[in-house]
Amino acid sequence: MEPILEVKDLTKKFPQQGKGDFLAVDHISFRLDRGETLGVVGESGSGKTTLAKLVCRLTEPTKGSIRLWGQDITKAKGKQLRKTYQNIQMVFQDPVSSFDPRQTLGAGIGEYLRNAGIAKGEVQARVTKLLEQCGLEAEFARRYPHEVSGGQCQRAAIARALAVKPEILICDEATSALDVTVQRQIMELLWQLRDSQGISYLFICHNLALVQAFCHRVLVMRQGKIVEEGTADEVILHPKTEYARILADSVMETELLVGEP
Amino acid sequence: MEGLLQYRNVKIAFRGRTVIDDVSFALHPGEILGIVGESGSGKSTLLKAAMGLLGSGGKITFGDIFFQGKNIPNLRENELRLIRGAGIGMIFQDAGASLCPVRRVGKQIYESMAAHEKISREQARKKALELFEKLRFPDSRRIWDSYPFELSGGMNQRVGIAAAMLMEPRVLLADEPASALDAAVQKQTIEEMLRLRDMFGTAMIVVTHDMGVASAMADTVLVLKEGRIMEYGRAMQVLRSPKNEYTRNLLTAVYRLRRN
Repeated sequence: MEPILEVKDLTKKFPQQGKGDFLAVDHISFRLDRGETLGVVGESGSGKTTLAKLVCRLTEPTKGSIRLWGQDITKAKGKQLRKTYQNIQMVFQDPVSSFDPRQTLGAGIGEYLRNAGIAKGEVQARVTKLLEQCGLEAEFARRYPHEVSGGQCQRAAIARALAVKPEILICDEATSALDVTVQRQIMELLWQLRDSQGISYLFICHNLALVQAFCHRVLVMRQGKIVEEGTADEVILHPKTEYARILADSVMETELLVGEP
Repeated sequence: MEGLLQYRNVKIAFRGRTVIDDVSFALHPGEILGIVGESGSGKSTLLKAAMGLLGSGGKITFGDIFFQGKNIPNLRENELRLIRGAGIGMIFQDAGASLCPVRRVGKQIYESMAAHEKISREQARKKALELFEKLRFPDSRRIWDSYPFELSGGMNQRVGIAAAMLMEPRVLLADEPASALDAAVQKQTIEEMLRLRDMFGTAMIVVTHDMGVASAMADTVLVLKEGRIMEYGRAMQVLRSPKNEYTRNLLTAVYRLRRN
């Protein structure tokens, strides 16, 4: 399979006052294939979010390269950068704060469409269609972020990300703040998008059970480095490193729960 | 059934809107009660009511909350102050944020201890470091002298729990104590709380939306939906063979790790 995204030697240093530089992302290389879901796990502070921001060009790397369909986008500017943003979109942990509180959800999604060059007259119809695709009725376009539930807002955020027809969706703990029932619904939506539109995911998540259910391959990050890499089952069931083993062992015992798997 | 902390037909309203409706339960010494439910179900409100911390908009409109023979809703602010911390302790989801960022951890712990008992700075430090050691904190002295931002989120949470326990409260209320932590630290925090229960016999109410946390900690479980009790009973029974449809939905939604 040809890689849609290829990351080589990616490094991000943050200068620290009075101390040496802090290596948030430390020489990371990986590839993402078309239609593949790549999970990223690791404790907080391990560099997962910085990695996500680097890949979608929200922050500048110190070193290394990012290739999208073979094209180097590490230093993309202007038109090429806008094109990159259309190919790679991000869904954040807190959907409410990812929308402008003074704008309706419809206006927030519409802005993406207009930026992508959709004619003004067409925007509303497209917003309705995107909301529908994500399981929301058209009237949600008129609501403000604080007027909807967390799950509904996350659906709108996914609709917004899909507005520019991206090929890669980066989900940074996209379901972590949601209740379990809502979490399952959002996961089913992401699943359905993968099947129907062939979207590739970089799926950052600290919930190993979810990663196991959804991801093809998994990267384990620690202190900015990839310490282990493999299929979800390899990493979770047969970890090679002590760190991955601790992660898997830390998952709360759920044997008490109904309906044994 | 007389409990250490007892809710009787409690109703709570915010500006006339009922958010807790007819909730009764009893917490006994050494018992851990898990309150589970979705966001907005009223879990945190239930906890705050026991501390008299509903704020200006919230009111207990019906029912009683008895703690050691005293009815919390009838107490004046100065009486409540004697109960908060020393009688009923509380820890929050983000302990780091409940500590003042510009003052050292030790200073803040000393201050909270001194508010409840006559204690010298040196005695407070000794007592705290003893507990830190028991909980196997790495480098207890350094933690005592640190600012909160110099500690990790997990360490701040452990410090918050230890600080609450230093007052030796009979009841500890914990609002999502492990939710903001990653799995390894979460497990450690939960084991620590269980050890504290064994050491001090503290009764705890743990509010969580995480069924894994509830099943790892709780002796009894109360399922809350829109302010009403859906199910209340022994953890084994509620989590393994729930009688209520809503509990069942909640449990089947959880993604579970395959171990083979």
